[in-house]
Amino acid sequence: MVRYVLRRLLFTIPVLFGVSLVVFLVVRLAPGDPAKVMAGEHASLEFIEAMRVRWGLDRPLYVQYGIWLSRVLRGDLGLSIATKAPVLQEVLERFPATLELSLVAMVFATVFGMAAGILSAVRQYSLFDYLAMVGALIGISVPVFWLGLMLMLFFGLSLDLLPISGRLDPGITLRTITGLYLLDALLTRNGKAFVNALAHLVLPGIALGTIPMALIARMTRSAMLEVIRQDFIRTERAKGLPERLVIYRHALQNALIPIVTVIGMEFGLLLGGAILTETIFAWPGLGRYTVDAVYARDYPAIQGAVLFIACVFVVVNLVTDILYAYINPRIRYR
Amino acid sequence: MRKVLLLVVGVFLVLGAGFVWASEPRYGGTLIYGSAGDATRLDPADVTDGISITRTDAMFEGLVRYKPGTTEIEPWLAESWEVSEDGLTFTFHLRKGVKFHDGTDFNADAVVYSFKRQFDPNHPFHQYGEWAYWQWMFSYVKDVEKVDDYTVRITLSQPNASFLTSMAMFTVAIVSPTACEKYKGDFFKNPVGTGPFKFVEWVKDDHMTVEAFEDYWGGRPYLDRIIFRVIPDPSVRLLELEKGSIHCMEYPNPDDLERIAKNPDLVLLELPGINVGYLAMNMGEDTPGFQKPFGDVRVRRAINHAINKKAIVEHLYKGTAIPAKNPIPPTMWGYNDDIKDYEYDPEKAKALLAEAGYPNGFETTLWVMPVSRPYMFDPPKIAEAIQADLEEVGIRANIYTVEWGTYLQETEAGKHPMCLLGWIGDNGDPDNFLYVLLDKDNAIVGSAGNVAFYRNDELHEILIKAQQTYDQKEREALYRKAQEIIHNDAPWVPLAHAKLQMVFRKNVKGFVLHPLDRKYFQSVWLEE
Repeated sequence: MVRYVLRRLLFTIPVLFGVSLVVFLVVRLAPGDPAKVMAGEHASLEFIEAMRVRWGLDRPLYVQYGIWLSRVLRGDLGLSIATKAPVLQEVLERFPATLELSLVAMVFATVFGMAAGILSAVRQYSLFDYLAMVGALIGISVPVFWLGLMLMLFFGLSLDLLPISGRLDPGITLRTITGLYLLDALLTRNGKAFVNALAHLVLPGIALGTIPMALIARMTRSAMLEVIRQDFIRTERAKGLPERLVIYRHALQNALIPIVTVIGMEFGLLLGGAILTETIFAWPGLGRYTVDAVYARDYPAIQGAVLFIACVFVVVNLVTDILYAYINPRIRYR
Repeated sequence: MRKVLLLVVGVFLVLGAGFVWASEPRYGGTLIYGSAGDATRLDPADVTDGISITRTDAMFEGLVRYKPGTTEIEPWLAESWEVSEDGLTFTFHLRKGVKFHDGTDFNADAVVYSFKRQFDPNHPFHQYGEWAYWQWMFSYVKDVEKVDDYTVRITLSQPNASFLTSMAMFTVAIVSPTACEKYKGDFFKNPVGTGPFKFVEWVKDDHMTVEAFEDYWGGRPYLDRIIFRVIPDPSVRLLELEKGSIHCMEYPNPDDLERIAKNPDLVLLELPGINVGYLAMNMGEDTPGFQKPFGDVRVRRAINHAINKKAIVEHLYKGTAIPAKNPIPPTMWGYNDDIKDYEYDPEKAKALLAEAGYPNGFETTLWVMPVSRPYMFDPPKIAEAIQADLEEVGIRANIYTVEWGTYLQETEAGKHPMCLLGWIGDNGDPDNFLYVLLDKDNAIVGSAGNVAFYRNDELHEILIKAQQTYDQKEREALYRKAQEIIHNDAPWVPLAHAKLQMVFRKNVKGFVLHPLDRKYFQSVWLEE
């Protein structure tokens, strides 16, 4: 097992190297020059030239890449051109917000998606099955920004039940330790902040969790249907096992692998920062940071953020793979 | 019984009067400001974007400031000043008893420090900033010296009449030298000024908080706190404002203006900003994009008559701008309102074209920037409207566009026959528009601010004279004359001045929009 994990980690090195090279080249091949974008209508040639020199943009590409890579290997992602702050620090400041929202969205998606999927499979071709699957189809197709605005309009403004955007009401104080507000509120025993942070998570959690929920529901249904038709299920029913035990213990456990795969993939995607959801809900996460960096042609920030996202994705994938072994004892890693 | 009744009525009258008194400014409360984005840095000398400047405005002040709502200046941290005979030396007498938020005394040392760090490469703080605006607006400042604790002398390398106006800019705000020394490269995260509010906290991309500075020299501000919340989407900002979870918002979505007008709880404030969006016709025979027809003033006037500016402003700017007839906006001093704009008249345009020898029009290319700018909403659509208007009088204009950075470079190099562009003023001085955008000094192929490559010696003389005289009345007269000359030569079709717009809940009082989008928060208060 340990050897497997080590080997997988070794494999990630060429992946991350490739990612770093592609990002590096793509941002530079895209039109636009950070100096020009920042100087705007005021561009004086001397200023732009001075800025290029200052940020090393006047050097040949391979030299720039070499310098950047050697810094990255030492754990330094460089300085953001727009804010002049260390990129790693900026990314780490925003990641907890994205992580917290992604976790909530995935919990929502997993609980409701799996429940709907199991029920649909058990009652295949029932009214519930049809409604759930049509619902899942709508869930996959609905644009997130529209869903987000509708949720805000209805729950935030008309019913006035939930906050519209942001992570905490202004005026509520919370000492941050991890950056995950729910956890921080628990750690500092701040009940008011916990309730408030939770309320702020509901709408973006639903908006962000809807697509994964729909995917999970569909995957659960088809995986369950496949397992339910197999012989060992028939045998178990014949043995007189209670239906509940047959479904939730034996069938579900055997159907879990593809479901966990979908959950892992979706979670990895969300951790990269959901650009639209974060923008709509004024969520100070990684997705918005990356997009702002792209608009500003802030090369170090784009490179750093994308590399960080790639690392997170690789880790989530690895954890998913390891989970397989626990779910299905027949899978053993060597 | 009657007496009791009278008494009750009397009490009501007194209470009623009390409500009238209640509209006197009230101390207390937290203002939540819905911001479209986050600040990049909080050092006033090292930011260039409006969102950061709004934040630093709450905390920092300069030697002079703009009078609320205008671009005229008034004494602020400097109580008075003198100019030497040759116009090269300014002596500022500083206000006494002013303190920075960290308790440091405001004095000549602080002023010298705040300026020198921007232009003296040997200054210990110089390495921590880009100082883009110094290079752009103050490169003619030769030196800044302390005369005594409350007197500062600033020497210029050439007389510059717009210097005083420029001294009201955000970038020459005075910073606490103690705090700079203490935080060094992190000063921009720990800003310390003399302004009415002091810094509390900044959670990136989420919010920034400032609180009332009790020892503010001008008296404690009305508000206890201001929280700047970042809400990037304009529709969501409006939802939050409607819900009452924020008190004001910047940059409303044009499509929402009707909805805002219908809501009795909301107030829209608007004012033409110090900006202009224009169509420039390339008159420079030495440029690669020059086309012969544009050398003829009749053709340029014809194009001015051909374009239906009103329709463009109404339908494409969607009520967020006013039509322009001069290069400078009406909110700027020196604006010449006597000028009569070329009216929309396609027949007159055709006649002028025929007179110039182009009865069947001609073919040309209209360059258009790919991005929306504050002075031009949806440029590609505006270009299409202009194209249709020109077609009407026989001019066939092909639309050409290229990525923004390249667009600026190539228009500066004069590769266009006609182009759309605009300008956002820095200091509110007409020189910052007319000289930068229309003087022959700035019509240099490759780095032109004057992308019409319009070169008029008479105008040049006037603009230079206006730069060198410190007599405000005379400067006004000169700029009025300059606008006449420009109008007659018609190097541009001035299109529009975009309005600044902010939406408030109606209990927010005392906020005045400034044409340069500066924010003065000390007069703002919240009604119960």
